[in-house]
Amino acid sequence: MQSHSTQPSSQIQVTDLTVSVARQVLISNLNWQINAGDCWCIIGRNGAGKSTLMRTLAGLLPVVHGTVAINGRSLTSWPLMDLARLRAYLPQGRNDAFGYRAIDTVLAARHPYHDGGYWESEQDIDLALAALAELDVDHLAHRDVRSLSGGERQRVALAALIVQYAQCILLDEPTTALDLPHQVNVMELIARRCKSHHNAVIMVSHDLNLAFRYATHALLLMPDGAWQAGPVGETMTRDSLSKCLEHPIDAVWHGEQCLFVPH
Amino acid sequence: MSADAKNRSKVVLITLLLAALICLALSACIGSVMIAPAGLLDALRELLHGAPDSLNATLVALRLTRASTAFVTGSTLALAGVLMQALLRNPLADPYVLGISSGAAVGALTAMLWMGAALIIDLSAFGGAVIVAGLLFFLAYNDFKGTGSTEGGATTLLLTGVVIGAGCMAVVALILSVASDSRLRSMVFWMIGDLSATGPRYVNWLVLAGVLIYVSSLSRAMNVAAMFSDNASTLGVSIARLRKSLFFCAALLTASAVSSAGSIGFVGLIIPHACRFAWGPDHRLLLPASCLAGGAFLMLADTLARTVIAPQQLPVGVVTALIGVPVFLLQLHSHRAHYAKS
Repeated sequence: MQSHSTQPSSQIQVTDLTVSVARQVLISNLNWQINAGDCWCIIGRNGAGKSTLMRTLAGLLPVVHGTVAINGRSLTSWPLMDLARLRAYLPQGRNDAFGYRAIDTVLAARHPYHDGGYWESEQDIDLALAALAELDVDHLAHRDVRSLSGGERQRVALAALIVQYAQCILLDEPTTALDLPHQVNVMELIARRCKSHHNAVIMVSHDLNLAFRYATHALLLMPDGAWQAGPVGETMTRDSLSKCLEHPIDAVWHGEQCLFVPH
Repeated sequence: MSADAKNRSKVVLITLLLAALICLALSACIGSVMIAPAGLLDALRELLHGAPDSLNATLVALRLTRASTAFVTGSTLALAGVLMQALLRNPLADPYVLGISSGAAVGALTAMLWMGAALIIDLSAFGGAVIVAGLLFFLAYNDFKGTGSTEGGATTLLLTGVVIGAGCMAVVALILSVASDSRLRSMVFWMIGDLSATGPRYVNWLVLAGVLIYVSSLSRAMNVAAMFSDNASTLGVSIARLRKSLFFCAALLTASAVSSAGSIGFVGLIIPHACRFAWGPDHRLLLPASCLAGGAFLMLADTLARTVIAPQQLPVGVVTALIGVPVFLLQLHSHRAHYAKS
C-alpha cells in the first residue's frame, strides 16, 4: 500500500472561539485542544451549534471570533490542497444531483493526491475497493449513488472519508442512518483509526451509549452557550448530561457497560 | 479499471469523431443538388488544389462552410450546457437559463431595428450577452464565494438569471411590436436560430478550442464539486474559483454561439443529457464527448433544415426541437423504466 506522510503530533487547537448563527451566540469562548489519538464526541441539543462548530473546524464557515489552528498553523492560512490531505470531513446530509457510481465518489476523495493526473491510478482503485469492502458496500461499487438507501449511501461516504487518508477526521453524525450492526462496525472502525493510525477524531453523536463506549473525550455544549470538555469519565456523568440535554438522565451499569437512560 | 476508463473514453471519442465526419460528408452531399460520394472526392481534390471551377466544387465549398459553422455552434452550445449544469449543480440547466442569450437577443434586435450590418448585429448581440453576464456576476456575487449551503446550487444566481432573462424578453417583445414588417421576419428567424447567413467563423472556433482546453484541466475538480457540492473545498477544490471560472466560460460560450447563429434551442440541454445517459456523468469524458456529439447533431439538423422542404429552408432551431424533444423523452422514459426494474 501507499505510504502516507504521517505527522504524529497532529492536533487541532481551538482558542477563544465564539460560534454564532444569525447574531445569536451558540458557543462562547471555546478553548479546546484535540490531540492525535483522541476520539472526541460532541454532545448537545438540536440547535446547540454542533454542526456549525464542525463546519467551522472544516473551514466551510469563516472563523469570526477566536482562532482555529491545525498543527500550529491557522486554518485560514493552510492551502486548500494541503489541508485536504490533513483533514477530512463527513457532512450530515448528502445531495446527489448527478448519477455518479458509488466507486466514483470514493475515487474523488483521492483528488488531493493527484494534482496533474487526468485519470486515477490502479492503486487508487485498489484503495477505493478496499475501503468499500471495509464498510461492507463493495457489492454496490457500480451502483448509481442516487439509487442507494440512506444507510448504504452513508457507508459509501465513510469509505470516501477513509481513502482521503487524513490525520484529523471530522464526522457529523456518522451513524445516524445505519442499522445496529453497522453502527457498531463504524464506531469500531473509527476507534481503530484513533488507536492504530493515531488519528484525531471529532464526531457529533446523539447516541450517548455508543459515544461512551467508543469515544475517549467528550465536549458538552450547554444550552446557555457554556461548554464542558474532558475525558468521557469526567464529562459524561449523569448530572452534566442532564444539564446539557435539559432532560433527566440516569446512568445504569450493565456488567462492564454504562447505559444512559432518559427518565 | 483505470486503464478501462481511459480506453473506454478513447473508443467513445473516436466513434463520435467518425460519426461527426460522416455527418460532415452527408451535409456536403445532400441538398437540392445531390452529389455522389465519388463526386464529393473529386470536388474535395479540386478545392485542395485551388479555386473551385465546377458546380460541384462550389456547392461542396458552400455546404462545408455552413456545416462547419453548424458544428462549431452545436459544439459550443453543448459545452456551455455541460458547464452551466455543473455550475448550477442542476441537470435541468441549459445555456439559456441565466438570461445571457436573452441579453444577446436584445442586442441583436436593437441593431436590426436600426438596420445594422451583419457584423454590427453580431457585435451588438455579443455586447448584450456580456452586459447581462456582468450584471449577474455582481448581483449574485454571494453565490460565487462558495460558502453557501450543502445543496451548492447557486440559487441566487439562478433566480437572478431567470428574472433578468424575463426582463430582457419583455424588451424583445417591445422591439418586435414596434419593428416594421420587413424586419420582423429576420428578427424572428434570428430568435429561433438560423445558420443560413454564414461565412467561416474563426472567432467561434478559437473560443471553443480555448474554453475546451481550459475546462479539461478543471474536469476533475468539476467532478468533485458535482458530487460533494460546497463540501468539495474539504477535498482541496476552491469552490469560489471554480464557480467563477465555470460562469465565465459558460457565458463566453453562450455569447459566442448566440451572437453568430441566434438562440438555437435544445442542443445545450439535450446533448449533455444524452451523453450522460450513454456514458455517465464523469466530466473527463463528458466535456469532449458533448462537444463532438453537439457538433454532429447540429450539422445533421441543419442538413435536414435546408432539405426537408427545399427549396425553402426551415430555421434549424425548429428542427433541433422537433428531433430533440421526442428523442429526449424516449430516452428519459426508458432510463426511468430501467431504473424501476433494477
